[in-house]
Amino acid sequence: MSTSATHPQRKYPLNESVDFVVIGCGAAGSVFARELSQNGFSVVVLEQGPWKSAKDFGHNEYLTWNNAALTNDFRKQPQTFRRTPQDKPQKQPSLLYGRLVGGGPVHFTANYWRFHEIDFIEASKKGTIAGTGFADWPITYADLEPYYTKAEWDLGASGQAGVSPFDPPRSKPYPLPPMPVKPDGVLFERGARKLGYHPFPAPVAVISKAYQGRMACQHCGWCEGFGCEHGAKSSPLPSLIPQAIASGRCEIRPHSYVHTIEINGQGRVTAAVYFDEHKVERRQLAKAVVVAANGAETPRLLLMSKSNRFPNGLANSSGLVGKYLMFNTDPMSAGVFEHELNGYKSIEVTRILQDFYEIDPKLGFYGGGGISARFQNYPITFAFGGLSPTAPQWGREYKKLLAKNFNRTMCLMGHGTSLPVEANSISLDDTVKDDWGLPVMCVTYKDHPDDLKFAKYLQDRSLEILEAAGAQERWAYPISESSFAVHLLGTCRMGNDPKSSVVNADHRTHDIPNLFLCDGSSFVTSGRGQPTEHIQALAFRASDRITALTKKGAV
Amino acid sequence: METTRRSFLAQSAGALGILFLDSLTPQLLAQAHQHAHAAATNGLQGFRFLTKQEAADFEAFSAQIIPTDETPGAREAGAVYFADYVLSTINQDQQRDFRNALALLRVTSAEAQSGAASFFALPVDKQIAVMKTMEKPSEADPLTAASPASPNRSQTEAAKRAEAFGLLRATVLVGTFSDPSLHGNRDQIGWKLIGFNDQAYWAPPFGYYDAQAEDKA
Repeated sequence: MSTSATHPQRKYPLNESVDFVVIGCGAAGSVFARELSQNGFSVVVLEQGPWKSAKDFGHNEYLTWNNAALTNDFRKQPQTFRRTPQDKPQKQPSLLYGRLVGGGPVHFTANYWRFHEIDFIEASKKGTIAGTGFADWPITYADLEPYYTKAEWDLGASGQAGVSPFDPPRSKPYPLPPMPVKPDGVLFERGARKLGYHPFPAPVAVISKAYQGRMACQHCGWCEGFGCEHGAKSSPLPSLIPQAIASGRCEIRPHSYVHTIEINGQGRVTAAVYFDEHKVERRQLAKAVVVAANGAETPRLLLMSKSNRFPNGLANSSGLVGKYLMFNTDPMSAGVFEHELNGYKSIEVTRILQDFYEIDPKLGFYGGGGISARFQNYPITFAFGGLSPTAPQWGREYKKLLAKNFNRTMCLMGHGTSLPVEANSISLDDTVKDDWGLPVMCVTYKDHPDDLKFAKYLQDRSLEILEAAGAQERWAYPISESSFAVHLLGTCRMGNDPKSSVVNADHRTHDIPNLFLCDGSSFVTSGRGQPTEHIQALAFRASDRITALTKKGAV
Repeated sequence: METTRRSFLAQSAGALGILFLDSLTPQLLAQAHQHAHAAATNGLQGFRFLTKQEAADFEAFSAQIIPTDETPGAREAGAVYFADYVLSTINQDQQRDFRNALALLRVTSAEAQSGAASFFALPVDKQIAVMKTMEKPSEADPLTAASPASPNRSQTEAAKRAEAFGLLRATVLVGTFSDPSLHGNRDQIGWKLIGFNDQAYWAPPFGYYDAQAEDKA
């Protein structure tokens, strides 16, 4: 495994007040690392996890997950969960996220979807929804469009613009052609077209051809949950990180677990206090801080950074830090086909549709999203849950079905909205400590009824597509209340009103002029199930805004 | 909302504790058809954590989860060696749970057949009955008729047995389908069973339907 010592880079002393400390080196943090350093600022990036490289990645399904090789480790950083604030929290794994340099995009499935115009103005168009904080974003699609394009071109995305009638306007096509269609994509397209839908090549953060010195995808198939050994998945590791280091002004410190952001008497942040890899406490001085630690760790860090000035947590005068947590829904169905699909070859998703991005209001509930044809289960996970819920779980018939169905099963996954509900939240649980002695995060979550209704709606459409595609057998997996999630959104929401939001349209906290937050926590609404490109576009835009503000002395 | 993969990840993080050891002589398919007792005394050896009886019980259990028929099963895949390896190396924190699960398997075996001191020595029909009893404790107990003396078990105890069954089954599955470097899935028996092939690269067409589409184009 690589460490900071094996990556030659600029080093800053702890007592040098660098222009920016960036906390978290994932989807958003890596954008800040490159952009701010290339814009001439001194930058120190503090990342909880290790710094790995392509040579560290492999195909070992069990070890990767059992060892939490790319993600948070619940044994070292436990979590608690409760359905409502009235319930007693129970210790259980609830939120999974990337915990290494490069963050979640190192192991993500690589779906790379833009938001659409409606996502930013949906409350104005459709009205408020009782019991929720459903609201417009303080920015529009037009504000963000250049940054979606920048993300697609700078990291490397493959797709085909203009083939979906639901595609939002774009200033440039994808830099790379779509990935070759897989057998399940062919079937999905066949079934969807029969029903009058509009399937199209999935936009993905995987390079279909050699790009910027990187090797094209070799179709090994180990994308979801694994790092790319070829560097073809467009995570920050093969793209933004080396460019940030090459600037000569960026230092990335892995194994740096920030627990407090300090402020001075003037209410400005001055330093980030963290544990290094030996659990020794360090204190890095900074002129400004950007927190990009993800939608769970960012609010947790603010809540841990209490002071006399901010007794309820840093930048929390609104009381909304940690509130409005959103997950996205992902209803799944599956079908078995006559011939071999060999879904384990190549990337997970090659065809999607977005015909349900907005639904008929007459249905009586809110929701929107898309459906993808998706390889979902490697050998171990297929043995656990790849068969129909009514199939035997052991014995001769079980074995027979495993052998027959592994290469003939196609999964359809819905990607849907989650409404912002204030009670759904990240808070601190002081009764449980992690291995560093810090309070763990308590997750409170109960799906809004509309979220579950829309998930069922997407699942019903998926079953129809499977039937139209010729599935010999099909089934739906149960839709139940969420208690485990990988999309962590909305916990420090953007807005113009300091009473109803935590950061403004520049991602600056309303309370502290030199503290910025940008990651999944910034979301006002959940989008339609694929947040990564949106997070990175927000970070590119925020980098421009922060640069402009700093250069005119306004930070 | 939980998909199967994400549910597995949650399970893996919280409950699964499993697996691996030094390479031993692979058992041949023919050997696998021998009586479990013979396997225990003649074939199973070299364990770091499991006792010989525990290994024999777990191997017999694995052979009912993924049986040997015209193709090899979990026994030939060496799921028991995977279990011993991980429990003696990366999952030492799970040793107690695993040992307790095997103890419950033996207790349930003794209830199924008076005087039975092990699971592996039971006749196959009794082994299956024991497993069904542990798996679904809330349903009709298939052992009741065979063993009227079996005491009524509390819900808590029944839940413990179901949990034990789940841990043992999970270990069999991971031991059969994991990367062979973890000492299970010997000769890629698990992967061959389902038609999985681990390579660093592939090229289209990937299967029947995309090849068919290419031909038509």
